[in-house]
Amino acid sequence: MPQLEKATRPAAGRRKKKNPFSHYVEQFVFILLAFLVLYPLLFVLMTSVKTNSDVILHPFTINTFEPMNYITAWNTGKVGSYLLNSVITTVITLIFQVVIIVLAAYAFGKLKPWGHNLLLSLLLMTMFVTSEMTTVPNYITVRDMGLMGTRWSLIVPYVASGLITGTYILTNFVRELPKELDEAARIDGAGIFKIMWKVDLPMITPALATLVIFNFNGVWSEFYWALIVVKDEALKTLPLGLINFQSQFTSNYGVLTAGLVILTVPVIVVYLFFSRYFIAGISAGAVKG
Amino acid sequence: MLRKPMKLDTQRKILGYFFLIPIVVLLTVFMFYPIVKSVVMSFTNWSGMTDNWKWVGFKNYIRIFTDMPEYWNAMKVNVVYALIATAVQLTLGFIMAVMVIGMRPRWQNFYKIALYLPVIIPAAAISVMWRYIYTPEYGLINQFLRAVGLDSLCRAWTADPSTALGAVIVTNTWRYAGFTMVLYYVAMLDIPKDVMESAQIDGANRWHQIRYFYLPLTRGTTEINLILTITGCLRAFDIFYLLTAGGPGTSTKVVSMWIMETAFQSYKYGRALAMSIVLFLIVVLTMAVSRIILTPRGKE
Repeated sequence: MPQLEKATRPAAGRRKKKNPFSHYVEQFVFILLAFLVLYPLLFVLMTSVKTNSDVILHPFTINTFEPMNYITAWNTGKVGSYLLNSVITTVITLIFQVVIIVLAAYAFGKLKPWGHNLLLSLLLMTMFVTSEMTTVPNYITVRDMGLMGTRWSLIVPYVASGLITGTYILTNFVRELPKELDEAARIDGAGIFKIMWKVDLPMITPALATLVIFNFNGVWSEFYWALIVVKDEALKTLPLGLINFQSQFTSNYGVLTAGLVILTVPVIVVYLFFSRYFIAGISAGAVKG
Repeated sequence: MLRKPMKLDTQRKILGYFFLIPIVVLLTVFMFYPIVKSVVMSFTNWSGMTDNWKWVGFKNYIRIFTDMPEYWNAMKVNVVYALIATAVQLTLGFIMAVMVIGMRPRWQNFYKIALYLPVIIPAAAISVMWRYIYTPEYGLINQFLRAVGLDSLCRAWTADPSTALGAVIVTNTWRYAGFTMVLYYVAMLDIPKDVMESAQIDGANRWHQIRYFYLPLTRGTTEINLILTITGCLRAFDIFYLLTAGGPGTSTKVVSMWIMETAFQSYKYGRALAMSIVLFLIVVLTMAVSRIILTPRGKE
């Protein structure tokens, strides 16, 4: 970015007047960047409600309104069924993950059984394992467990794959919980489960929210494993379904993009709704980790 | 309440083990066991379909290094991709973070959220979307080029060997630049405001701020970003598979794609596992080397 090197102006602090030229250049570059990021999304959204002739004649603007695209995608393109599969798979996976992670984080951060540090370091090593190493053996494990052809062929490995990062983040939160509250509750006669449920859990809710959003995103978007294990049309999740869909509606851009919107809207809604947790989660997970 | 603290402590520790059962079982079955099995079976000629297999010693590994040019061609694609994509993504991410941090809080929020948006969009959606953008006939890019009179530049972006890899890099940058940006942004938030302000009063301009504050003080983040991006690129699968399927020819065929084909189409699991392990070792080695290069010297 040349304008940064060229900027010889004095600091643009609040106390000093801004140099109008470099200020405008910076503003311009930024608006351009935001445009480049957001326009493709807007483009898809627009295309999804246009007739095919409008798509071809007026690519950049919108002149028709064709909500039928969504109905075609839903019925003919079976997006409805893919969506249902994605919702079921994601919800079940997240419930299992939350329970397992909370228990583990509580053990590592609070109960600290003998050898907990060693065990945590051992488990943390799995963070560096690449999916290439585990895919083939996991395929066989899932097959031998008799899970092929059922939703569990997706859910069980998904649950396992999202555990360690979540446990690590949450353990750090649990560790920093104030001990005084626990002791006060204990003196009042509360048992360990009551303290956990009533005192500690509410305090780690924000961290838990971060974790749920991240794992939601991971499971909802997962594609590689699903591609390998799911052969049954009735079990396909949205990312996998969309690939079918792409070959089915190659030149019907309206319907194709309608399918895209249906796949993407849930993640965007969840993201916008919880965006502050997202940023917090990134800093907790990546920077401090 | 009247129990001795020791006793209570012991109870809690035992309860701790119970709490750890689910995670330990799942990670053992789906992480530790597969690693051990991968390593062991990579020394066999196992097809994956039957239980018949024979030890073949280092044959699978020797084959990778002596008689598998396609593996190394794919690795070359990965490496070129990793170098360019990482350089572009880190530079853009850093610049965006510097720009965002200098804004008023309301705009900071807007840009932070907007620029991170592509990161959360599923790979399948991103690839379908970008395939459409790159379509020769009605794609966004060619339509735009025609609209501004640059018809001669129009091409089938993902089917032309000279632009296919570039197309993947552009898509990947669009997807992940926001991630790099947010990591830098979060690190920059930790730089005390009064330090920056007193530097400004002393006449530090924007370039000085970047050179003497933002760049050195986000060094740890650069390291994390670099490692995440490079290792991500070396293992890349989804965006390549979905956007170009390795084509045209094998010009964008990455290592993961060969592994998947060897395992699930040629049914040579043993060989595919050896290929995975070599890739894994290369990723780990890259990580270690980047750490050594990036760790400041003379601080022992």
